[in-house]
Amino acid sequence: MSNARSLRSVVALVAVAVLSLFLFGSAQAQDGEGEAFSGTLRFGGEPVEGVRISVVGANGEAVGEAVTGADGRWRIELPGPGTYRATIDTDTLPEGVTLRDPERQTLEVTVTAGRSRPLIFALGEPVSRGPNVGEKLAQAVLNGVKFGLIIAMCAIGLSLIFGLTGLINFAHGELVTLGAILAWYFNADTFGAPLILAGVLAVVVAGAAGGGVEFSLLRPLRARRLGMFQFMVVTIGLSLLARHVMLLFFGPDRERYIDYALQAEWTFGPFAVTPRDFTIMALSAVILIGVAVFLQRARTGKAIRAVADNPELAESSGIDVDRVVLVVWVAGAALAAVGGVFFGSVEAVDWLMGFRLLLLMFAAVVLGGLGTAYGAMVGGLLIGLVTEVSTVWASPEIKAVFALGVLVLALLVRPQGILGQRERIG
Amino acid sequence: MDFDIIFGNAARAGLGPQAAIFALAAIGLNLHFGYAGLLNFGQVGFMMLGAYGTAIVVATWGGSLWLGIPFGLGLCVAFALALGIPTLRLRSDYFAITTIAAAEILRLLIRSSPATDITGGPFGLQAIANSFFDLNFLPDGRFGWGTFSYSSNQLWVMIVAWILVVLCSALVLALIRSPWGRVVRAIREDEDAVLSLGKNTVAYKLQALVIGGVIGGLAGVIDALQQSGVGSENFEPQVTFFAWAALILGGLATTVGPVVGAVLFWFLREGVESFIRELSEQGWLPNALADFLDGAEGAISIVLMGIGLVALMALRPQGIFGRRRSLHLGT
Amino acid sequence: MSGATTIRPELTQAALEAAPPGRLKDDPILITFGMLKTFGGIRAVDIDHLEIERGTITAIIGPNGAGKTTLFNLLTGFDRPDRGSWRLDGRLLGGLPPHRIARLGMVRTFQLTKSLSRLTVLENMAVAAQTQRGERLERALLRWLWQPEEARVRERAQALLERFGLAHMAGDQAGTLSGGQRKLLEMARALMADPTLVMLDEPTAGVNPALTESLLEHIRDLNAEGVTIVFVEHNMDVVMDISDWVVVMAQGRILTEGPPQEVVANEEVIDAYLGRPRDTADGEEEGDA
Ligand SMILES: Nc1ncnc2c1ncn2[C@@H]1O[C@H](COP(=O)(O)OP(=O)(O)O)[C@@H](O)[C@H]1O
Ligand SMILES: [Mg+2]
Repeated sequence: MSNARSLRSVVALVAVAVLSLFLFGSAQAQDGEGEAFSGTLRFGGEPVEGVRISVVGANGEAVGEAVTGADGRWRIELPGPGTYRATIDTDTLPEGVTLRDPERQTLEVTVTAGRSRPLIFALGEPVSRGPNVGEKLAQAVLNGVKFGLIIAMCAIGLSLIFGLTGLINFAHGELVTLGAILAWYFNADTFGAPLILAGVLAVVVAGAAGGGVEFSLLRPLRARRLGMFQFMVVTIGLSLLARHVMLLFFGPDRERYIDYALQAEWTFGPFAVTPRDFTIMALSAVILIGVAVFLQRARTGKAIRAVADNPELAESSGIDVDRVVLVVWVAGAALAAVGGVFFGSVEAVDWLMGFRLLLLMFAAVVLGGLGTAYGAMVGGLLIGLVTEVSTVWASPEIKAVFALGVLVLALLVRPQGILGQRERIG
Repeated sequence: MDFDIIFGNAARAGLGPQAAIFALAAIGLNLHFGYAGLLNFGQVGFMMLGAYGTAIVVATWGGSLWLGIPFGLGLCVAFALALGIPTLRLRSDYFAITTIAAAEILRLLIRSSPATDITGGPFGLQAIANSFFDLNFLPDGRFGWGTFSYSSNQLWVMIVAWILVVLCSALVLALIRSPWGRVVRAIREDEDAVLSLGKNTVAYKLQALVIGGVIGGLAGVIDALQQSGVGSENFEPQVTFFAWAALILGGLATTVGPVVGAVLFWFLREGVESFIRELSEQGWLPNALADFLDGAEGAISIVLMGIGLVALMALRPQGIFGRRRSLHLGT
Repeated sequence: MSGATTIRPELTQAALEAAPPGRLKDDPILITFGMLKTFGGIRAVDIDHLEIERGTITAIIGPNGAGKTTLFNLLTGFDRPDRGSWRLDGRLLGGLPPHRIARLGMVRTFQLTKSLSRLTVLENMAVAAQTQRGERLERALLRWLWQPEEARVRERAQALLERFGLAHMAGDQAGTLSGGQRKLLEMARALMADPTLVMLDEPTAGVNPALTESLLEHIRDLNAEGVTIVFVEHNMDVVMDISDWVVVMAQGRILTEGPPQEVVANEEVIDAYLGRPRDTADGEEEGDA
């Protein structure tokens, strides 16, 4: 009975929280503000001012023009949805600054209703005439490891939560986004905190959010023996809710952190890596090893593995399953947020990044074996490698297709995943 | 505040082509999950293939619409087989995850530049439904009252779409009441038990997946017809979630559930959006709030939908019209 | 075919002397060779040779974790052995999926009852009938093609329910049945599939004494009709009461096999399974009844 009451108060709380967000939040750019192109011109990390960009419509009629400001930004409002051509006037580029790819001086882009589309005119050294396949492969492997480590980190919580409670958390991607966006607020928006501090703060908040969801919503629902399907619907609801609240406040655009945006690369033989990416890879590896050591050595870690292995048995041998689940939610959400901050540094921050990543995380955990932390790590690395290495030969837009291909192949050969266990029958 | 406008908008959406499209998608999902127990989270993939298959035949290859529709539905069959054969032997959660991933990856593939020559890539395909609208025997002009009104072509789409909804509902009902349907429902309850009785459960699940997928494909075809075109942004994973929301609203494993749910879903969704638009237009709100709401009604209605789904599962896990008793058996 | 014990007396005599596992039977319906199944290091099933005599009731006993359920899973195709082969009526079954094995006449039940909760009791029965025309998708919509057959299926289901004392619940959802009734239903359902060999995994577990009695009665009747029965059972009274032959498993292996009186007298069995002080165990069983 007290469960029912606490549940009701939770629902009320969520509603109040959302409403208060509306009341006190500062409105950012929003969905449906009107169609526009926008972007930021940078050269070697510095904004480039005074460059003219013009847009024509499908029939060649002039639509608008803009000149980049001191911060390198430009924006051109469009009359409505449709296909437009945006051209950068290379004559207005400063001395010594060129387009990285001269063929991309004019971009043809379709805009849907209410969307503002960011356009990128990449400035810099023209890409040297095609590195050979070996070099490309080396680079792709490096990128694969980088994204693989990040995917693995994000996916550990997803996999362990499933192992512990049988729940597929469709809102796990939103924890990634939450981490990235919070770090952006602390770093680039209001506080201007250094990225490392901002990241730590974001991770703490996201971990607390994960724990809060488990403690105040999912635990009472588990006590009422909700079915697996009902739980899935709950997490789908949470994911829609969280994602669109973030859209409301963060807006539809991609943003970048202030620190470490662009750096010169270090080269090791065929590998070239920026200090930032190197740090991220090293940190990711250290964190993953830390998780493994924790699971292997620490008392709580052993309890987590015991519960994931057989919840009933663990419960009957005196493990406080609820506490273990809470720990995994906090830690899993925090890891996802770390992944979000890393991903935001490597690429950019936007409201859908976690949801996009969720699909790769899903592929990773199924590939590695649902329910195990090590499965998520192995699966994440594999998915990262396969998607990135595929870009050596295939268009990067379809790299996710290869993730699915590997997944399907793996399931045909080993249905329980690489490290997964068969279910018992009978 | 003009409630005529709000109600008119809501009713227009609740009976309009979108609701019929979602009803079809939800009928397919109902066969998948409500009857066969298959957690398909990639229904939008079937809709996309139905729509794109049709559009590609017409717009890319210059073929007839009446060839395009069967082609699109054929793609749905192929997708169901490709998806089902490797995953239907596995645990249901693996299937759920694979379906959502497959549908989204298919979308990325369709909108990628290597596919642009066939699918139009990010631009989509246009002007595909002329021969469909040529059949429209309704007079020109608008039908209805106030905001609750449709153009002649919209009404024509609606008539066809709702007829399909009725036919598909009847088809699923007849199938479910047959011995075939009995095996399928038995598999939902316990696949191992049915296997031990000598039924090839994978084959039944595959058949259910194909049929529900083709019904979802039909939803996509209608979508392509009513817009007379296709675009990959209409087939994001959310669409599947919305179809699920409609099905849950109306009730699982019932004949009218998906239809009632789809109508209710669009009625509520458009009602809320319209209400928020009215609120900010009427100037009753503090400026900061009005600014915040302006243009954000789409996102807000989805936020509310999320809250609604969580609350529904917390307070009435059996759905609005579901009976409590039947929930606690199994699942 | 008569249901009386058909094991040759001289075989039993030999058994009394050596009691080696894997004894040959006169007319085996099921023969297993070199069956091995491991779960990461654990040899869950490791059986060199096992035969099941046609027309008998064979009990498999053994402590929890002995591998009884795993053996059932392997024989009925629900799990794949690491190696080993087995024949039903001379036919090799290795690699066949479970539904094909069931169609060949070996039908099993499960330790944890698997009733089809949201189907009615009658539907539970009807789904088990073999080769129904209306179960084919292409005929499902052509009602007139399967209507007469469906009527016959229901009639047979109703008769079986009658026999199992479940007829008054035919229209109820199976999930509303008590645990014991579900066990009955599962057994009745297995019969509906017309098996020649029924494998029952702990059919009396968690069933009250009165229902257990009627379950055993059904097992005997069934056997009298010529169906071979293999069942897993923990209650030694039940084993002694109805089985013709007992197979004792421990740690994946067959410890011994033989007629019930012989097996209960076997020292090894007492050690491994019945527990040292045999009197206590017997006392408990009596207290139950
Ligand atoms: N799917 C499985 N994964 C791992 N170990 C299993 C699995 N199924 C059974 N086992 C192990 O195999 C052994 C035999 O189990 P089981 O056949 O269930 O025994 P019984 O039915 O005789 O009680 C046990 O040690 C059990 O833990
Ligand atoms: Mg057992």
